[in-house]
Amino acid sequence: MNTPKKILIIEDEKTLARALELTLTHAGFEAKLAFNGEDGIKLLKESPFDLILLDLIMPKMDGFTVLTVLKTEKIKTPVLVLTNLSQQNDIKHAEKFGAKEFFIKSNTPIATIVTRVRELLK
Amino acid sequence: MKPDKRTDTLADGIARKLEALANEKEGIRRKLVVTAKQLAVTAKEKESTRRKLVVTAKQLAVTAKEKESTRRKLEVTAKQLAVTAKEKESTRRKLVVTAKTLAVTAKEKESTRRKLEVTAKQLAVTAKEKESARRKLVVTAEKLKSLYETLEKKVSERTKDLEQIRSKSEAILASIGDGLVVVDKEGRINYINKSFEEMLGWKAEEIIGKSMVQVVPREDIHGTKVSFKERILTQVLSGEKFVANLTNPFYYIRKDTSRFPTSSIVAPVILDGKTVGAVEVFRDITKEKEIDKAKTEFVSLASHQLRTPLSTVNWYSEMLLAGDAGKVTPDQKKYLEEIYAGNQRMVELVNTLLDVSRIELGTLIIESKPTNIVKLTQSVLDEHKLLITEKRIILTSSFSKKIPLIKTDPKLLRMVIQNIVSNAVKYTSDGGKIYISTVMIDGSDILMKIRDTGYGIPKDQQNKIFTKLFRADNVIGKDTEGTGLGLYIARSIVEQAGGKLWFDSTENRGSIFYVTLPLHKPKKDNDASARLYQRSNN
Repeated sequence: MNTPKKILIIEDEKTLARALELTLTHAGFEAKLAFNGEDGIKLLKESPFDLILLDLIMPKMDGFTVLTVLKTEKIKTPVLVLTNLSQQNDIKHAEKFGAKEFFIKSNTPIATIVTRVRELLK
Repeated sequence: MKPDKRTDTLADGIARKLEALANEKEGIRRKLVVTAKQLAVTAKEKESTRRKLVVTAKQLAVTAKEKESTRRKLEVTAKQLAVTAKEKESTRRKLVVTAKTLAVTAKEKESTRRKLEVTAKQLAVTAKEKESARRKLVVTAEKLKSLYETLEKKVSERTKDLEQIRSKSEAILASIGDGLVVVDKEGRINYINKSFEEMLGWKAEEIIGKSMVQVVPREDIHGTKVSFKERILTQVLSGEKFVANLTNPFYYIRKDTSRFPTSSIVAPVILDGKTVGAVEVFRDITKEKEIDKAKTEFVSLASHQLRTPLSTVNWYSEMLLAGDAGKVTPDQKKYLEEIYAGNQRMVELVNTLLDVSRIELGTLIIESKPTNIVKLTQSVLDEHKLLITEKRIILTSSFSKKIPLIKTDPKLLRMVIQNIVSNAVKYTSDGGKIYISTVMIDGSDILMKIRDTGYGIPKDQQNKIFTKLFRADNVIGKDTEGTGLGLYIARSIVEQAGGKLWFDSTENRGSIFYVTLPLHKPKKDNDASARLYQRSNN
């Protein structure tokens, strides 16, 4: 049996973070939660992850900063941005900082996210 | 002396008698003297009389001579009288003739007199009438005079009133808080009010008689000077009434070349059916823009905030439906699906609100690329296939083969077509028809027509159809899903792309929506609307 892929969910909205955790676990992944950017970076430094689901607007450290830190720390873990910001500026900004994909949470069924994660981690 | 007393008395008596006789003698003598004197006088008188008589005799002799002369004269006179008598006879005869003639004349005179009398009477009557007429005329004259005076007074009062009204109107015009300008039919400034002066920095005496369009330049939201031909004022003077669209604000340039956002209403001044000029009322909408911006920002913020709970409902109902929390019964599934669908609608609404706020804040980013409008339209139609089939709507489409790719933002164009098509499907009852065509016009524009046989738009509401949050009365009861934002967004996008969006509609017969898009947009300025706000904040 393969060891499950590790996914880090950095999301301050706890109910959403839990939903993702539940669904991804259900889908056979190992999911860990961080409720702000700072905690996320801490976890990333502790152990490697296969994928990061990153929110943008968060207390303490926002998603854009997380992306910058990842870049400077040379952490190459792929990042899927999950946010409710839908400004094209934000999308561009996030992609420039290395985000692989950009999802607007309210417009994206959770099943779609799982599918994308699965595809990326194939 | 005392002899005998008697003797003495006798002697005394004799003495006394002697004395009395003496006295008597003296008296007579004196009388005789007087008589002698009288006799002497009488003699003298006799002498005088005799002399007088001599004179008289002499006089008589003279008189006799005079008498003789008189007699002779009389004789002459008698002779003369005889002659005179003859003449008198002749005269008498003549007089008789004359008398006769006079008698005749008298008769004539009488007749004339009578006639005159009649005439006189008539004249008297006439005179009376004349008098009465004269009196009447006098009365009339007086009445006329009084009427004239009243009239004169009224005219002067009226003139005063008018003068007052005029100065009042002028005062009102002058003190209107909005800028006001009146131009003649050549567009030359006739009148400006105080607010105009304050807002634009021009004094009336500097610009009266000059062309409004030249004195006060206008820029559109992109900062491009609006050409003479495109100025509202020019269009109004050419005969078409036009009210500046508030969603398309523009700038007026002050004398000192600074600018401010303006909204204005221009209307023709029509006299006897002819346009003799135009009147424009404009307002500085800097404040409104700021408020509007704050409002839009609020909507944007609120919408983003709404997305989190919406995501929660979405995902958890999805998970429940997927059986993540255990098996669900068919009923539970049905209910969950309702929750999910309702939430989806809310998500759509929030997305629409965000589109609106982006358009209004100018943060809508346009990513133009060569786009195949025909393919795009077909894909939108495909999306609606299910509903079209369900409503048994007959859909016909025709696309010209000559349509080239156009450089536009496909996502935004899709939104436009999606909005119009979904309206056509939504507001056409079962069994209706929808017809879509796309053709080239003049080799420079693409024209898309979307016609339906739906409910149509009530005439009195047609001018509001592109207004934000507007929904026509006749569809509110039929469909609760509309937001009233679709056409507002669609038009904003089309106009941004340099095109036009309009429609024809008859209630209960259907609507035709037209979209034109230029192959080449004259000038692309992505940040134009954003700049609009920056400026108004300055």
